[in-house]
Amino acid sequence: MTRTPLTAAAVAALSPDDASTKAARGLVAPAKWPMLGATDAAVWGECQGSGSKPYQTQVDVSGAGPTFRCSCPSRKFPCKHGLALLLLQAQTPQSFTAAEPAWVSEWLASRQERAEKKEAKAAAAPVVADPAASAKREAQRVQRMAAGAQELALWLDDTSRKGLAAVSGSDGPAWVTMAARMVDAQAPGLGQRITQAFAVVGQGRDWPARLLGRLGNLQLLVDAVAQRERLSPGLQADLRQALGWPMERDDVLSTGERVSDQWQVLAEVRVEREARLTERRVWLQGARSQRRALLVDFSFAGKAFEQGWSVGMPHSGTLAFYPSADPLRALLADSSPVPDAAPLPQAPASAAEWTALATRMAANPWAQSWPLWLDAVQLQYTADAECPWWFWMEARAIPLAISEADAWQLMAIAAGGAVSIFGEWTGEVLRPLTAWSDADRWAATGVVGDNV
Amino acid sequence: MNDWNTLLQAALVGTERPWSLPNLQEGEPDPVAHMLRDAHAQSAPDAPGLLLRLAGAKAVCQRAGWTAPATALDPIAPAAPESRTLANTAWSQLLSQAVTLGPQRLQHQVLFAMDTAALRAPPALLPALLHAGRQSVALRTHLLPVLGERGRWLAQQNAEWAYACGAQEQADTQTHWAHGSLEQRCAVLRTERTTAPAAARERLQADWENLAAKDRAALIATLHVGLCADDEAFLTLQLKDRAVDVRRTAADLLAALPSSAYSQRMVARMQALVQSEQAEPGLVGRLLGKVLSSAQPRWTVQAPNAAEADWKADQLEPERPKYEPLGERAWWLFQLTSRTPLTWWTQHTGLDPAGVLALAKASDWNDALLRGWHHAMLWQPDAAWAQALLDSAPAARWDGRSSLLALLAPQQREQYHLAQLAASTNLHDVAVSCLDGCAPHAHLGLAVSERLAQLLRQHIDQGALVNDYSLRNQLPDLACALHPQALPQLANLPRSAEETASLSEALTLLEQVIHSRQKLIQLSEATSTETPTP
Repeated sequence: MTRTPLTAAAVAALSPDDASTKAARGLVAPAKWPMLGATDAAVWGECQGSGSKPYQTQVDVSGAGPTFRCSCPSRKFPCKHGLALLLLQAQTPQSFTAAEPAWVSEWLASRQERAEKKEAKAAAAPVVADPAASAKREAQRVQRMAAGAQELALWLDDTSRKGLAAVSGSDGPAWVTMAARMVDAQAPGLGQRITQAFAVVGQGRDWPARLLGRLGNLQLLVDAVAQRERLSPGLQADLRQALGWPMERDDVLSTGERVSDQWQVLAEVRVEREARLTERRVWLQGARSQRRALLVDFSFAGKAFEQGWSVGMPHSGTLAFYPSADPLRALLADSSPVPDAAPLPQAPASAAEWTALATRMAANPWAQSWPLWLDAVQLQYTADAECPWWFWMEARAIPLAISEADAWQLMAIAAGGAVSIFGEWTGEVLRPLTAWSDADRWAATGVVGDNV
Repeated sequence: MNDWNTLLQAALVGTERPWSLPNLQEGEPDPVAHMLRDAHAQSAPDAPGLLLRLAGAKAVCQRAGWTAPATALDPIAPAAPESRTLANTAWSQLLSQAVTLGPQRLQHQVLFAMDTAALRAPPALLPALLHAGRQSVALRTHLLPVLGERGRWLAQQNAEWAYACGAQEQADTQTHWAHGSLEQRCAVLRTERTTAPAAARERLQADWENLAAKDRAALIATLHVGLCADDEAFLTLQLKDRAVDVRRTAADLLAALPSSAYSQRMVARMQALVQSEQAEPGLVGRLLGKVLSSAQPRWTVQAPNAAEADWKADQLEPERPKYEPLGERAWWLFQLTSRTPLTWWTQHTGLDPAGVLALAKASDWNDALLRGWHHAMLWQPDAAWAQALLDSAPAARWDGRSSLLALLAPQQREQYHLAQLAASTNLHDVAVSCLDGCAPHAHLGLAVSERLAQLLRQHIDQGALVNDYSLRNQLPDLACALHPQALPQLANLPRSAEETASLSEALTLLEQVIHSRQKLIQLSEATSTETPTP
């Protein structure tokens, strides 16, 4: 099967920002590329940059989404050279004539090898260096976290004694100090939640209610730390996650529940975290198991994500779920793309979806966002300055967190008609990520209100 | 008061004050209410964290039991059914390219072709198109129909896109007039003026009192189409309008009616300033008196010495604007010239337009007169005057050169460009002039295009683009204005690995624009042959 090159629009969609797209367009000239070549598995080229040695740019296109690599020092990912290479291929595929050089074969081989190693590692029994030492380390950390939680309990009680009406923006330093104390106590999750709680102070009409909800949730966490041994194993795992002590990947791969299925990609979204760190969230739905799963991975300094995902492209594969009272987060244990895209199944009935959501919330009270897939919603723009965008559904209104540009794009595609929507529900607002109408699909270019 | 509000109240004032949950009614079914009270009862009243614990539990339950609030608002009505065909993938890609690449001429041409083929843009492109139309008024003529009903519907939802609202494209004239956008209403008048000028004027007159100043100014300008003596009464009334733009347009239109009382007043004012001067006959003159009397009189032009009291009523401003480069008297002369019928000049002096321009050149008031005639030309189109004005100052950089060039017959325009190409040493200026003379959706003639493309190519081959930024910026638009057969001259431009990023970007943009334009020509041909001939 000969692979058709991506269209220019599809390549532009891979770009990290407008500047990169523009820069890439400037490189779409065969004269800039002394060497160009392609097979069904990869596209490569040498691009003359400002230095004497040309940049070696290569793209692995054998997966569901392209994976980039370039010898240039850019921290953008993919860099302009990678994008330009694909744009050039879309424009003049006939100029990709060079034979596969060693640096391409080596890279492809190393990717293959890494994938195999990973499999082998997953298959091999976990090696525990010194069970006694590691158990001791774990016990020490639990002690520290428990002490931190106790300190937090006192502080919470103190805050509620003085009254939330006394909290104002000028209390920032005290809250920051408390958050830092939690990081010192090896419970960064608690610190993050303190920061998140303080972020609502003075924001919006009903901030005291939202602050109370967040502090109440922290109290439940603190209480849970004190009685951790009496919790179910799933809830213990959720507590550990909430405290900011995620389970090791290897442990998840070796002990997590495994589900093999054909996974439909419901949404893929990237969020810029602090400097140079990009978080990617991929939401999946199993065609047979009807299980929903969230894959989270990070890329630092513009490095490639190992696996490409694109919405609407199914993957057959096995996921290993993180243990939880409501298992959602998972790791990819092994996967291969399925060439023919299966149509996306219907969204579940809305009553069932809301019930499932309530069940998830009851199971893990510390989760902070949940998947929500709704059929037949209508986008509405209102004069409400605080929250102008809503979904109408069965004469009811769901508030949205969506950027202006994304909202108008969705508005154009929906045109007052009903669309199917998948997004993340935060308990207060819905962050739409993907929408389907009869003919078109919409994807959010970013998420709003997820920057803590 | 419900439990949550009780907890919130207590939390706001602080738990140092006594608080308690309200008593439950007999047989209260809410299990959460019971749970909270049980937890409360099992703890000491001042147990640390009790309030937050109860609030935390209640919040989790509330979150899980959340149902979307009912809304009293009606959902927005969906867009009206489309009357145009959705652009296919090839057209959509082309349009998307034109919008992303940016050159306005390319956008214009693609939109023009899509409008001609009765196509509409794909939904995903509508926000970008509406944004482009907001930036450029010139783009709107063909952009609005291509938006389709969905685009019009979308524009209604966003105040920034209000310009694109309006009635359904297929609605009748009456609906367009009554409910259409300003552009649609102008279009109604312009169309009606070509067949029934009186009816169009009466239509405008009937609505006049209810119109906003901005609308009045735009709508009255449409009377320019099919302007006739019958319009005088209505226009004269509008010299007293509250809005200055309306008054000025009315005056400009009246000046374009040589028989109007307004024009007569202007002529009377000018007559005092443009006088023939019999040369003082000297000795030889007296001897040759008979011969001289049959010679041409010598005309002189004077500027007014003072502003008259009745000027204001005729929209002549005695007060010189602050940043006006003309002197005070020149400013007065400029205004008088702007609103004097052009025909008067030739009739009064017996000279042709070129002759009139020559006498202006000889006077002290050339700048004021040229500007005045140029303004008059906007409302009193005249090819002979346009040609004379263009010839008199070939190098002048006029903002309005394009309006003059538009008045020439295509052949004359080509001649003008060819002469400029032959004479000028500044390629950039000539290129701008060619662009000025080429309507955004049209292209230049073959002869001009080939010569221009040849010069551009020579220039580029000599490396001119490295430093000539203005030419660089002009290239994409030029590539859109050239005759299709001249395009290959700009293909395969020399590229080098050492070129700077910005030059590289400019050349790539040029290549992409040429590529898009060739695609457009190809698509337009395919579309026009597909259409069955009636």
